[in-house]
Amino acid sequence: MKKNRRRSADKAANIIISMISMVGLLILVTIFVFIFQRGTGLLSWKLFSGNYYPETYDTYFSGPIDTIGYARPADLDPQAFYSEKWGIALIDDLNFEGKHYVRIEYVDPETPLTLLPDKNKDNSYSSIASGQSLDKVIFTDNSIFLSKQGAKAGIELFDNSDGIRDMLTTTPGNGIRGSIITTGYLILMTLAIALPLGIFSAVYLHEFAPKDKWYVNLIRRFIEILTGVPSIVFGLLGAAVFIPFTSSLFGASGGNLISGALTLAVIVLPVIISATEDALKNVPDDYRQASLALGANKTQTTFRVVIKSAVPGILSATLLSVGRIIGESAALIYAIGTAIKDQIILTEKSTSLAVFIWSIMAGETPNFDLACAVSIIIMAIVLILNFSIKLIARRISSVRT
Amino acid sequence: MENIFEIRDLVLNYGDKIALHGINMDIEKNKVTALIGPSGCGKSTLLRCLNRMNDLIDNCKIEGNVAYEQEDIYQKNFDVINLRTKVGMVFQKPNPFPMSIFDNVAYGPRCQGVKDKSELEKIVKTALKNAALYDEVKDRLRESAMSLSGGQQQRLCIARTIAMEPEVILMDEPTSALDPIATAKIEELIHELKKNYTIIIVTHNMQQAARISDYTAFFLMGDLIEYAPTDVIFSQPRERKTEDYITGRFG
Repeated sequence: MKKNRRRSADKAANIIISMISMVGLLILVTIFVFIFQRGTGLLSWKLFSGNYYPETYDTYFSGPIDTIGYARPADLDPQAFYSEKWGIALIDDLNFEGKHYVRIEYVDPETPLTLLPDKNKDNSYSSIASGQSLDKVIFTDNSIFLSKQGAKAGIELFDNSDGIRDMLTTTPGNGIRGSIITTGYLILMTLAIALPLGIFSAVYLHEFAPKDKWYVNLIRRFIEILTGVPSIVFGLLGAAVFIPFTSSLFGASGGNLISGALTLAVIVLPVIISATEDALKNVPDDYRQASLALGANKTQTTFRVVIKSAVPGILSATLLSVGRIIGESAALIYAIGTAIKDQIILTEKSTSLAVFIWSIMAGETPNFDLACAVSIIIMAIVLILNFSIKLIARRISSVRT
Repeated sequence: MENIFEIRDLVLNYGDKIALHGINMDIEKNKVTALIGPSGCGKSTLLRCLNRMNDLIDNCKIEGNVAYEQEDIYQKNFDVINLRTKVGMVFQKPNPFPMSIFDNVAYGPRCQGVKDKSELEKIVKTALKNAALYDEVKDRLRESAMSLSGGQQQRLCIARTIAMEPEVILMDEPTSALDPIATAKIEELIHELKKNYTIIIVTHNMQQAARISDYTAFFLMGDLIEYAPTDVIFSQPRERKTEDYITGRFG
């Protein structure tokens, strides 16, 4: 009897434990599935290369249109409406706010539409290309607002007209090119500041500083504490110290990329110092002794042997910091601001990928799909970084044995 | 007969533990001197006094004199770096740097400022030949030194030391981590090297001391018990303790 009860209690405990772990797993999987479902549709080369802000072209066509016409391409979406006379295909679609618009699906490369004089720019031409939204067309004898009347009506008017007095098109926008460039700049500038500082501090602490002195241990403990400080505190430091500093030095007004990089450097510095010190600790003392016994001085020993052997460890510290830089958002909201930019200037505001998510979600019309797409990109980068760190760690252990 | 080292009243403390009590010893030039004795008797400590490697140990205090070529190496403002280029050292565990074979041997000369490529190549080739390693590695000088076997690594460490063209080579149990065949090769090499260098070797292996050395010094608990030509020590030791040790009665 007792035996049976014990066995069934064991079974019940097993079931409860596995169910709890399943719940945890399910929550994680749901988040991932949700983000991927919303975001993957937007992932395309255009997302990476496009500007965030849409641009409007105001063009016209004056010459007579050729009567030969342009054949409908075979692989065109059957939903699209096509004008053989002008060689243009239009399709009805919804934008991320759920509003109807007409997208240019295809433009024949031979038609005059590909290069039209722009009304807003003197002696300049603008291209009508697939992916742009067609907003309004005024023909010589008629006019149409496409978002109201749709693609089918638009194509009918195209077929019946010989000239265009005014045509408004808009580029898609919502690209993240600017944010990618900002993130790249931040990584480069932050590492340029933090790597030399961090490596030299670690080398001092481990190789040159007197051993077991109270102040050395105090510094070490301090660095450990800094690793745990929430980054928003460093953001305040950036706002209070680095923004005025960059303003007086580079003439920046308000948050800017340089103060952002300085703030990030402070955030990753303790990470780099402690990881580098660990790497130095792992360099066998035999190497130091052998080098000194060969008549090398302390500097030569440190730079030619010790740091060289610690390079894999330092490299993984660097990758760890890159991950931190890419994922950091709270501190940067203060230090570089939240204004999305397409043209990146070091002394002005802009957003890194993480802050970009914050910016597009903070407005009146949160762009959830785009936020998910950018999240996927960030997760992919962090995943690759972690993978490389693991690879380096494996190489270190295989070299040592 | 010329003495390269003259050690006078050398006392060494690690913290409050006394490792050497007043050693007096002269070491002859171009001979092989073996230091023997049980573990913890101070023979390695003495060896490390000769190129001041004990400086690296924090709480190590030294009194007395060690003269290298009539110059006190523990005087103030003495050029330790220069001393170590003349008194090289081979360690117990083979410890090549994690770089190529070539870079390992060229390390010392490079630290002394030799930059010329052909000169470095010449130095490396000569050193490897003198360490009887050249024929085994001549086709893979650019490969990592870690790919060599233990015995080859130890000969590489010897090559690395003689690339500095030292006067003295200190060897701290150089064969204790090696198999008998590799050990035989190193001993053969020591025979060759003694023509040009003074060799001071610490060893646990009494047969080895008998085979390769000209003089043997026996240490016990931080004291130099007996120091005499090797054949004398092994055939007619003066002291009872020496006899007990070399006949294997203790240790």
